[in-house]
Amino acid sequence: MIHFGHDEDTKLLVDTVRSFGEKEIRPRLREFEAAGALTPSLEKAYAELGIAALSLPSSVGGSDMGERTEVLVGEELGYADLGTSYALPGPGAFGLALRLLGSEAQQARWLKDYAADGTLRGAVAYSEKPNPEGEMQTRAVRSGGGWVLSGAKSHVLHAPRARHFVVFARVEGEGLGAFVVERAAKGLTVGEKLGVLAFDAAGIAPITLQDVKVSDDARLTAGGDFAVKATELFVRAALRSAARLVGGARASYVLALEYAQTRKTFGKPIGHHQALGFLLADMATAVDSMRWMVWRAAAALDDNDENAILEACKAVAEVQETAMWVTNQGVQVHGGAGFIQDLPVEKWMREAKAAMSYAMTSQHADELVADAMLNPDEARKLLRVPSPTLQPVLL
Amino acid sequence: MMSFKLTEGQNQVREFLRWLAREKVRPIAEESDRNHGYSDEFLTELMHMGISGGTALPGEEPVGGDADKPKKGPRQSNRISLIAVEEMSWGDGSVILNLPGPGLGGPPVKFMGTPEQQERFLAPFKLKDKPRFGAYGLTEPGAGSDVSAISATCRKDGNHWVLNGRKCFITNGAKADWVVIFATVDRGLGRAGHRAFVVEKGTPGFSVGKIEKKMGLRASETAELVLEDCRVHQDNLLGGEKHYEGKEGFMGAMKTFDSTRPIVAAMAVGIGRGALELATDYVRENYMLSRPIPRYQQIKDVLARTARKLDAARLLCWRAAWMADEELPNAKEASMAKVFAAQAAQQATIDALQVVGSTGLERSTLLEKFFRDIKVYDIFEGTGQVQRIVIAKRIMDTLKSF
Repeated sequence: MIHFGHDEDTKLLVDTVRSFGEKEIRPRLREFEAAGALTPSLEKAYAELGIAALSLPSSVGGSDMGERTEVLVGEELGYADLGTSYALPGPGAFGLALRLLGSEAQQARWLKDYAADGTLRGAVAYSEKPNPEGEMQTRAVRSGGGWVLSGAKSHVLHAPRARHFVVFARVEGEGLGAFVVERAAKGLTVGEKLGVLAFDAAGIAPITLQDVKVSDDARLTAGGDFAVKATELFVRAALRSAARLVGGARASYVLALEYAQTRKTFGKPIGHHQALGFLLADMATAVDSMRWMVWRAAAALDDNDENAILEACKAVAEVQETAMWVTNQGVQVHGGAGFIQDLPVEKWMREAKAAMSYAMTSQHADELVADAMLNPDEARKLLRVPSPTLQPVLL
Repeated sequence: MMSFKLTEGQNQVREFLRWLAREKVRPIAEESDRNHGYSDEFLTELMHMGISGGTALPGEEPVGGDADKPKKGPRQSNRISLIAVEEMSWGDGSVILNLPGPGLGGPPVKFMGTPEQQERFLAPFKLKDKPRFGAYGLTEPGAGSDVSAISATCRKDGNHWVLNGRKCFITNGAKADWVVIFATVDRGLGRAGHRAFVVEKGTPGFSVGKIEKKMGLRASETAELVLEDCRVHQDNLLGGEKHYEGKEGFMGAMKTFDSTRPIVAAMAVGIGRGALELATDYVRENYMLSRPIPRYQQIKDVLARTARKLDAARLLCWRAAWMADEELPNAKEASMAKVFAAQAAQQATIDALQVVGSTGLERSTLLEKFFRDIKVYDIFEGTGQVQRIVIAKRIMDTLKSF
C-alpha cells in the first residue's frame, strides 16, 4: 500500500533528532568547520541520543532500525548542517561494511564497542591515487596464517580519528578483498589531514600501509558473495549520504525562502518577483521529489526487493545532482550575502559538491542502472564497485 | 566583414598574458587564496609590466597597448580587455581584482568626472611608485540588485557635502586611496536624487567596517565602508552639480555596468576554461591509459559539452564588446554575455570536479578553488536574475516596436 506516513515511535525519533540539530548543531556549524572538529561535548550529547547504535545489528547490541528510519534521521541531521552530518561519530561506513561483508563473529568482535560507545568512529579506506593500470595498487599477500597489506589510500573520511579501518586491497589471483585493520596496527600510518573543499570537521586524510600484518579472520568475505555485497556497501552508503543531502538542500531552500520573504527590492519582497518566485518553486519541488526517491529506495532495501540496489542507484544520482542545484540556488537567492561566510548557504553548497563524490558518483550510479535496463537478466552480475582511481570516491 | 580571427596585436596581448598567467600567477594562486591576498611585491611587478586594473587611464592605452589601433581606425579596447581578462582569470580570478589601478572606480570618474577631477583622481595611478587602488561603493545592505534603492544620504553644507550610510561588499574598499560613493539627496526622488562622490581615504567620518570572509575569491579584499557625518568637499562631487540636472546620477552607475558586464563574463569564461583544461589533462593522463571503461564515454561527453558552452559564452562576450567598441547600445547583449557565461563557467567547474572525483576536493588541485571562486560571477555586477530582467525588457520592447 502506498503510504508516506510514519508510526509514532518514528515520529518521536525524528522530532528528537530535529530539535537536537536545531539546538546543538545549527548555531555552531561555523565553529566546527573552523576547528576542523566537533566539540567533545557535542559528540557526547550525540552519543547519548543513541543514534549510532540504532543502525547496528541487534546481535551486537544495536536496534536494526532499517533504512526507512535511517534516511529520516539522516535528513534531519543533514538539515541541521550538512557538513556536521558527515562528521558525527559512529561506526558509519565501517559499520555498514561489517554488516554486509562480515560474519556474525566478525561483527561481534568489532562492532560491540561501537554499540556501547557512541563517540567512536570507524572508516573505510578505498580510493587511491591514479596510476597507469587504473587498478587498485594496495595488495594483500598471504603470509603464514594471515595476510600482509601494503599500499596507499588517498582520501579516507574520518581517518584522523577512526579507531578501525576496513581496507580494500587486491588479493593475488582472487580480485578485490577487504580487511579490518586496527588503527594501532604496526605499519599503518595516517597522513596529514588534507586541505579540502569541505568536510573539514570530519577530516579527510590519506593512509599508508607498509607490510601491515592482519590475522586471517580480519578478512571480510561476505560468505562468498563479495562482488555483489561490496557494491551494495557503496550503494547503501551513498543512499544514506543522499538522505543527508536532501536535508542539506531543504535547509538551503528554507533559508532562501525566509530571505525572499523579508528582503525587499523594487518595492516588494524579492520572492514576489517572478524570477525569484519561480526559482523558489522549483527548489521546493526539487527537495520533495528527491526525498521521495530516497524513501522509495530505502523501503525497497528494507523489503529486500529484487531491484532495491538499482532503485537506490537512481535515488543517489538524482539526489546528488539535484542537491547541488538546490544549494547553488540557495546561494543565488541570497545574492552577495550568500557568498559571504556569515550565512551557512555557501558552506552547504561546497558540502553538496563534496558529497557528489561520497561513496558513488552519479556517473557510476547511472551506469549500473543503464546496464541493468539493457541486460535485465544479468543485472546482478553487472553490479560493480567504483573505480578506485579514475573517478575516486570519498568514503 | 564578419571575422573571428584575432589581430596581430590582440594575439600578442593574449600570448603575453597567457604566459603571465601560467608562469607567474598559477604557481602562487593556491597560497594567495590561503593568505587572503597577493603580496605587494607581486602586485608591483605586475604594475611595472604595465598591467593595470579597470579602464585605461586618460592618455594611456589598455593592457598590452592597443597595438593595432590605426590613427583613425575603430576602437578595440573592449575586445582587447576581454581577451586580456580571460587569460588572467585562467590563472586566478582573484588576480584581476587585485590589479593596481582605479578598478571599478575608474569608469564613473572617466564618464562623469570633470577634466579636473579626472586629472586629480586618475593621474596618481600613472606614478607607479607603489600599488594604488580605487574602489566603487554602490551596494548597501539594503540595496544590491536594486541600485535605485540606495539609502546612503548626502546633504549640502557650505562648501561640503555630508554623507551618511553604509556600503558593503566593496572590492579593495579598505586599501583604496579613494572610493566612488553613491548617495541620495532625497530617497523620494528616486534615481534623480543620486549623487556620486569621490571619497578619499582619511576623510573624517569615513571608515572601514569589517573585512568579509567569503566562499571564494579569497585573495581579493571585500570590505564594508561606513560613512558617519563624513564631510566631503564639493569639488569631489563627480561631474559637479550641473551634471545632476536630469537622471545622470543614476545613469552614471548604470554606464559602469554596461561596460563591465562583458568583462566580468569573460573573466568567468577564463575560470571555466581553467577548470575544463585541468579536467581534460586528468582524463588524458589517466582514463586514456587505463583499459577502456564505459565511464570514459560519459566523461568525454561532459568535456565536450563544457567546451561547447564555454565557446558559446565567449562569443556572446565578444559580440557585446564589439558593439561597445562600435559605440552601439549593448545593454541587452552585455546581460546575455554575463548570465550565460557565469552559468556555463559554473557548470564547467562543477563538472570538472566531478570528472576527477574526490581528488578534486584537495586544495592543491585548484579545482575546488575554481568551484568556490566562480559562484559570485552569477551574483556580482547584477545577479543572473537581474540580467534576465534586462534581456526580457529589451526583447519585449523590440517586439513592440515592430
